[in-house]
Amino acid sequence: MNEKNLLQARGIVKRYPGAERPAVDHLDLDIGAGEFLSIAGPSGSGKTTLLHILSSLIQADAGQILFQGQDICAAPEAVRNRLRGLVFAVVFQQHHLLPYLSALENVLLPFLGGIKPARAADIATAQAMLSRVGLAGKENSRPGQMSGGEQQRVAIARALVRGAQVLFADEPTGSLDSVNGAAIIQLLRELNSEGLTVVMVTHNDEFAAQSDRIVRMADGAIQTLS
Amino acid sequence: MNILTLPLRHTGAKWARTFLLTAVFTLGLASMSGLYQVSGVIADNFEKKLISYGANILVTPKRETLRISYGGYSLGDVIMEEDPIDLATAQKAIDAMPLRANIAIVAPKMLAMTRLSGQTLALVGVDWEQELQLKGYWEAEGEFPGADGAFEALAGAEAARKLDLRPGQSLDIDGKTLRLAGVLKATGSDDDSALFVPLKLAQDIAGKPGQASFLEVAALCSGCPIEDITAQLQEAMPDSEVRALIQVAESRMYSVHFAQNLAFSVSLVILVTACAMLIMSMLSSVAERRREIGIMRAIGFSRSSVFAVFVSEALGIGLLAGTLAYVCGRFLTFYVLGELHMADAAPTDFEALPFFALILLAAATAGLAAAFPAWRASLVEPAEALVAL
Ligand SMILES: Nc1ncnc2c1ncn2[C@@H]1O[C@H](COP(=O)(O)OP(=O)(O)O)[C@@H](O)[C@H]1O
Ligand SMILES: [Mg+2]
Repeated sequence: MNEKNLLQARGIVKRYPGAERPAVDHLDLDIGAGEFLSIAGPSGSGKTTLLHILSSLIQADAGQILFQGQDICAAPEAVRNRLRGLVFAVVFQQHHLLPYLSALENVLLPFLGGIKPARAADIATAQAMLSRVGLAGKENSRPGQMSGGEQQRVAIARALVRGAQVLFADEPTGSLDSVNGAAIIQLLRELNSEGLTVVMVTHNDEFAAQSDRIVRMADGAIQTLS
Repeated sequence: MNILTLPLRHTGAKWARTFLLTAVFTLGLASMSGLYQVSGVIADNFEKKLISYGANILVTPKRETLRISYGGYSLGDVIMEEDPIDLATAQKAIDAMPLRANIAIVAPKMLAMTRLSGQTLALVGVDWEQELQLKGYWEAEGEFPGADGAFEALAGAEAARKLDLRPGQSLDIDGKTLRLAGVLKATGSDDDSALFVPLKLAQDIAGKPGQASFLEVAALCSGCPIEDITAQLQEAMPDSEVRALIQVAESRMYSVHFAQNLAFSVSLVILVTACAMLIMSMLSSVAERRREIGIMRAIGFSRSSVFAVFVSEALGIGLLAGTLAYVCGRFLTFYVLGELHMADAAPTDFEALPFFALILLAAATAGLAAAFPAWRASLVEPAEALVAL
């Protein structure tokens, strides 16, 4: 297995019901382990749809997604749940924190899916993760008491708390000002340098330029590789 | 912290909504349990009162009459010697009846004649305990004989007047000395001219030990029509004649049942309303929390975990409401019975069975009501809920 094929998309097609043409149209893409990939392109070109398919949030109509050589599209629901929980991490333009949970509880959320209580080790991991994104001391703050940048950091900490291998970020700086946005990109760079594979959708060419590789999408397909 | 942290925090954050739902649910359950208890106590009391209004079934030996006529000239009817009822056999037959539980009192009577102060007098041998229960309307000057009262007697008003009897005096009957415990106030019935003595004594005088001239029976007709009870009694004692006396008891029980059914229907309506409110509120909550559900799904929650988050929220509210409703229901019962001057009959001790039954009912209805909204929640697709609009 070479480093180019941690995640491989093969002939992906996705057409939303009622849409004239597919949002993603016979798309191929290879993502290497430890890579920081940016996906750019105009609005409506299918970037979000592609990200959701890659991260197993939605099913493609046709094509394969190979993770470490295994087709995950055909995998049963339980396997996909586990992939979403343990291997893939997703961060959105809006942070989508639960408003009634504290920052720490939000980060712990991935451990709260069952009746078994979160272990002390999990809580320690969540605390360490909060520190890692620069929010030590904010454990008990509610989302409503934090700035947009801080909320996005909590969301990143939550996405990564179970030791994900791949982080998918859909315009993570979209709702932030440039200073806070730059800080988030900086954080992603650092996490990437620690071994995390990052796939980021962004409008911002300046931010895209900081990644290892940029792919541009137009009309549901990849335009140029640079 | 586990999956229950989510409903716990959410209900805490939306405390006004939680309070409202709990209040409505508590109201429904409390009125249900209160009405249930009140109508139970009233029905109980009513039944007790009903049996003290006297017997409603009479069991007599089969009477055989022989019409004697000759040449078209009637000599009248001759009543053949009747076989008295054997008490041991009758008791066994009654105990074996399917509707045994509806037989509240069996009061045997043995009739005998005796002479006292030169006058002929009808003696009625009775089982004091059964008789006094049956004749709850009796009032006496002096006192009533004790439950065993083997050497006590009770005189009817008319008999006492004729023989000039006073409570407390001694009576010499058939070589035995009895104490006249009391004199009954006039009832306007045959009781007025009788002298009530222990059953055993009357049996000895009549020379019929272990037997009775007839039985007066008080049956409760709450569960079934009195016809069924008389039919079963008749079947149990084919050699006797069984007749129903007070049909009115049935219609009285009917009104108690009507009140019980009404109470039940009203509280059912309240409970259904509370359920409908819970369903509506949960449905809007699911719609409002679509993104939240999307996040849970996106970070690896299974559909059943999402389902559990919503159902457990409702279950929690149900359990809380059930507990509160038990307490409120008790107060309600006490208050209503107090208004009816029946506070003494109100249940006072903590009873585990009704408590857990109520809790179970509360949890089950809340859980069922939440099942549909929770199922809707579990269908939310992660991506669909999270697209930036
Ligand atoms: N849930 C959806 N239902 C129907 N059409 C959708 C949905 N999501 C996206 N689309 C359509 O698919 C196309 C690609 O959308 P999207 O993947 O969001 O592009 P981008 O993220 O590059 O803006 C657009 O034409 C959009 O209108
Ligand atoms: Mg998009």
